[in-house]
Amino acid sequence: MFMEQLSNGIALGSIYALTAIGFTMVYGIIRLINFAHGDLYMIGAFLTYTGLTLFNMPIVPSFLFGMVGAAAFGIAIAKFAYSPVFKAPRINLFLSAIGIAIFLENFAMLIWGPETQSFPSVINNKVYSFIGIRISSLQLIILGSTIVLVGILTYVVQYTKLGRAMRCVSQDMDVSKLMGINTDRIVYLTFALGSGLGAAAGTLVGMYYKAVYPMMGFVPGLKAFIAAVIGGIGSIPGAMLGGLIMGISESLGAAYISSGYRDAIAFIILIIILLLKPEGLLGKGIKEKI
Amino acid sequence: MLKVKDLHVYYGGIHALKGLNFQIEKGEIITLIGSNGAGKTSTLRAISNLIKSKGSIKYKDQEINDLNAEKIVGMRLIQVPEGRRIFTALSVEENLLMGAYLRKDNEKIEEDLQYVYKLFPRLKERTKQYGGTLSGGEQQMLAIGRALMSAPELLMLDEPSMGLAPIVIEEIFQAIKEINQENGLTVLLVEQNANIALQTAHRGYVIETGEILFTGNAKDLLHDDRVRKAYLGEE
Repeated sequence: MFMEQLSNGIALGSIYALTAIGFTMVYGIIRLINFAHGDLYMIGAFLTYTGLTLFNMPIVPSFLFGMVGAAAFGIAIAKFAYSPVFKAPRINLFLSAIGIAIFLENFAMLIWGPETQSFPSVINNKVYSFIGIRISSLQLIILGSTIVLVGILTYVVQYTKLGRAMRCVSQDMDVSKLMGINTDRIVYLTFALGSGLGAAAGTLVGMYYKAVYPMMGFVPGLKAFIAAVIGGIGSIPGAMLGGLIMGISESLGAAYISSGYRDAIAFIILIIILLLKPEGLLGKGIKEKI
Repeated sequence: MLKVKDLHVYYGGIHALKGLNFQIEKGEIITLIGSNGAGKTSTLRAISNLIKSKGSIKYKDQEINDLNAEKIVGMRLIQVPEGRRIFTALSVEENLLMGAYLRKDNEKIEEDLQYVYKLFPRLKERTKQYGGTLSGGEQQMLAIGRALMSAPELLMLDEPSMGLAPIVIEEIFQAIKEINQENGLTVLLVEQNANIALQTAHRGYVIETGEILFTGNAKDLLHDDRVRKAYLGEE
């Protein structure tokens, strides 16, 4: 039972982690709590669903279609909804994000309908068990995709010129301009990457629960926010860690305490961590040296 | 090399620069001196186009007031911002390489890196260290080194002496002089510390509440009564 819940929790946690990474990247670069992030996750899931059902593509191209499509949505949102208010007080940007969230939910209802659509089963879900651990092939796919995507992202951010530019822009936009970095382009690119990762998470959830619906991103969006804050907002490894902690504790909590408390557990962890370490587990308090 | 004509900057209703005029010839070190809030930083930010301004800024005979900040960097007009502003979460070497972001001449980049290490040996001892762990003086060296990695033709420095110990200030201004003399690099130096700025520069402009009050040779300004009273604390 424990092992089963643990593998469940790791699968759930990797999905939270993927969502939270996109969230934290956008926050890191323009200090925006992107409340539309969960809805991009939903759009990504629906686009993959469309690729599978309408275009009859196999899962991998559909998956990529969902990610790229959501990335395009992310860029368009950044360009038309966020960049006009970049220089305004933060609250305007925040309101714009809420507006976009409402827009995307209704857009999805208009295109795909308000009811829950069943996500086609794309793989033969076998359950493997070894040394007492039972893990399904779907869980393995979720874990595998997360590891691959996070690996690519980490490589890009840490070891490429582009990643270095992203880290600079997230630290100091003005000085990044003085280095000759085209900061607008980096901002759009970050939105694209974040939305693409969110879409991957949405698709994996669709596959896992075999359902997609227009409001599916709402709660995961909040949870991603919590996971990002737990790990230290703006920190990519922090978002990973926060996501995993939340996924595992939710699964275990649901199994051993009560499944009714599933969502409350996330908030309880958030409160405890904010009390003990307000900057998050891997967040850095920034001090200036003279 | 740089000609600024009738430069105006507004922050909301505040008229921060009221028609600034000055110019720099190739190979010169000139300084803008003035007290806090005189408009020195605004001037540099306007030239680098980090803020909007009205008026003409001509660099190498080209009007650059409408160009994006990164285009201006590409033209080798480089600024070391006030307060150093190094990337604290990047290593010293990564910081320096950021300066070379737009450059493609890899061999020359390596050469320039070695030049910076020679100029500031203390940075070489700390290549893998995070920028945020350096002392104030080392951070200023890093900020200047980073700007040199952009292969500047005109280098603008905003208060390099800020918050530093006199002995470190001495070291940094010595380096500025050295770069100017050895490589003929043109320098625009903005300073509150009028004494060291005028000792380093060839010419100076005195700026107050967004206007140039007067200008002259640095040596003459150093002995000018108005400058001595206002900026060197003498009666």
